[in-house]
Amino acid sequence: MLFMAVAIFLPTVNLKRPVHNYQLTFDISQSMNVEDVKLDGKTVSRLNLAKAAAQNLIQELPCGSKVGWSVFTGQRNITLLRPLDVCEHYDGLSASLALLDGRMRWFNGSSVGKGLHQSLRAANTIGNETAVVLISDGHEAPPLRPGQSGIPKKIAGMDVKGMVIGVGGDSPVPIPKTDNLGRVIGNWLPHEVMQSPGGGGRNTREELSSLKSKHLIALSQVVGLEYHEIKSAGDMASALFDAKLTKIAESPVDLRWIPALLALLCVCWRFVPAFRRIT
Amino acid sequence: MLANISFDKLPFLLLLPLVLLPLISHRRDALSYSWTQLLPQDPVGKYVEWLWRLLALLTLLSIIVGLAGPGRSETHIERIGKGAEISIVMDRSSSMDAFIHRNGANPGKLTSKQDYVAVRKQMSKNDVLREALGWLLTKRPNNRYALTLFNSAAMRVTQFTDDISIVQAALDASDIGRGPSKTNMGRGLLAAIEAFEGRSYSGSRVIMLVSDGGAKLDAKIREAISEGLKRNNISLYFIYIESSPNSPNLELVGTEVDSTLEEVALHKFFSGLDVEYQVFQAADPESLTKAIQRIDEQQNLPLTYLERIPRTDYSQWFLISAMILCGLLVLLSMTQRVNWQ
Repeated sequence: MLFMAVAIFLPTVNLKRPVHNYQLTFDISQSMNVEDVKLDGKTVSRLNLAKAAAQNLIQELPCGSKVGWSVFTGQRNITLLRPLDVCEHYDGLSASLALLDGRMRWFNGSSVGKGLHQSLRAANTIGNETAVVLISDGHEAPPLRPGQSGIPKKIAGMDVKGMVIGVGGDSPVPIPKTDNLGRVIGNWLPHEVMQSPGGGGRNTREELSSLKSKHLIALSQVVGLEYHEIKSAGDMASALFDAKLTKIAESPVDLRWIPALLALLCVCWRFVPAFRRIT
Repeated sequence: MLANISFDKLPFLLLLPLVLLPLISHRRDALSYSWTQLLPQDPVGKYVEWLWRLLALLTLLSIIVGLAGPGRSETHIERIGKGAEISIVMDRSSSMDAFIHRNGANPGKLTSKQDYVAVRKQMSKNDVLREALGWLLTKRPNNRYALTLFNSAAMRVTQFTDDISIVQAALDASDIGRGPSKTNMGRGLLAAIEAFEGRSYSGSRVIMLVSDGGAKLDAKIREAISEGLKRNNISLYFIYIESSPNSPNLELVGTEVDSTLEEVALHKFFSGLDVEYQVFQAADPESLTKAIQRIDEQQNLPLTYLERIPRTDYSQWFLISAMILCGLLVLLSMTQRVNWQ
């Protein structure tokens, strides 16, 4: 027994465990303001579902995992936060995530391909085997010409893993138009947006938006990322857990419970009532 | 005090019924005897027996509680220290990615190895700013910081927080990629003012605006800024990073500087505000650091803040006591007759 108890002084040891490092990239273009997805039974905007999914992710990840984020719209991706430990900085991460909104948008349209390309480059700069998670509805504004993939072909030298997350409803709906201060001032009308040059002058209904999963799948294939669609806040975390985009890192693990439990068993053993054989 | 105790690994508490085991009389190590009535009374032995059971019970209890990982939850203690609530508003447009000019000299073409070293020391305005702000974060961790970036839109990145690393991570992130080219300082300022809305007043409030350019603000925005700063009682510090040797010297405005320039117009608007305002001109890394140091010196007034006391773990104490109890148990068991030989 004494021997067991001495073992209690085992220090915490560093064990290699899988941890997740993610750089989330949020599409904050106007189409992400479309309210056609459900969150807890309420209809919310695509961006709000994306934020809820990110909040759920930082809750679910094991300690030692790191999450940071970027936003993209127009032709650019701006990194807002480098990855931080989800346990140590949980409060700060949650508070910052809540600040993400459409008012950050510096440009109304968005090129999803460029956003994806720049996310990969950013993740490459961050290093530490950070995986990219890009959350978008795949709506390109202005629309691509037929045959254009929308993403620079050269991605050599970047060994970045990751996942593209599709968010949005299946049927095309009008895109709300907002003013400088983020207030909704009606919807975008057909003549106000650029129609697809492939439409031969016809109205290709670019003023309406739905989840363009085909486009997102094509983009993710070009850069070797996985693709997953989310319908609820928990979907993203489970898809990422399944995809095993983890890296192996050393993190301190408390193993004192093993000898302590053995000691407990020993003491108990002495007191387990034994039914004596009557001889 | 007790209300703050929480368990890390609650499921281990399910083992608690085990502590009752020593109270059950049948024991594995009991010796057979033909007729217990024949045994002499042993009052000392009885006491020892009960002491042994009690000790065993305590041992089990300590191990299980120790396993469950008890600890006092994270708490916050209100303290009064020195510092300020600083809302940093940082220009994140592409001009900030340009090199900061040093002593008016442009690196130009490289001619010798020495020049190469000099150029390597060249840092972008953003690099220099990050370094200077990083210095402030490390030196004054008790200040509360919020960070807002702006280009043609405003991006509030962090809310006022006691977690310095998150502000640092946000600063570090600003060197990845380039920002868009346009700027709209008005929106940046309004967003920084918004960070103070609804916060109780706990010490001096500062907006530290860092930009390498001026801005044309329309009347509506001017009014919103003026009103917002006054209502929330915020002092404004404008750190103006010169983009070229031709940049106006704002610290000298009021004498004979051309007031048609955006920077000068902005400075004049700020000076006319009903709140404390100061401008700092920074031409190179040294003057930028100095500007931030000067702001720091001025903003060293009492500040009420909540200090976070991290969770303290008590499990080690329970495990140690379990070990001591175990030792006593072993000692006691030596007095026990193991067999009849």
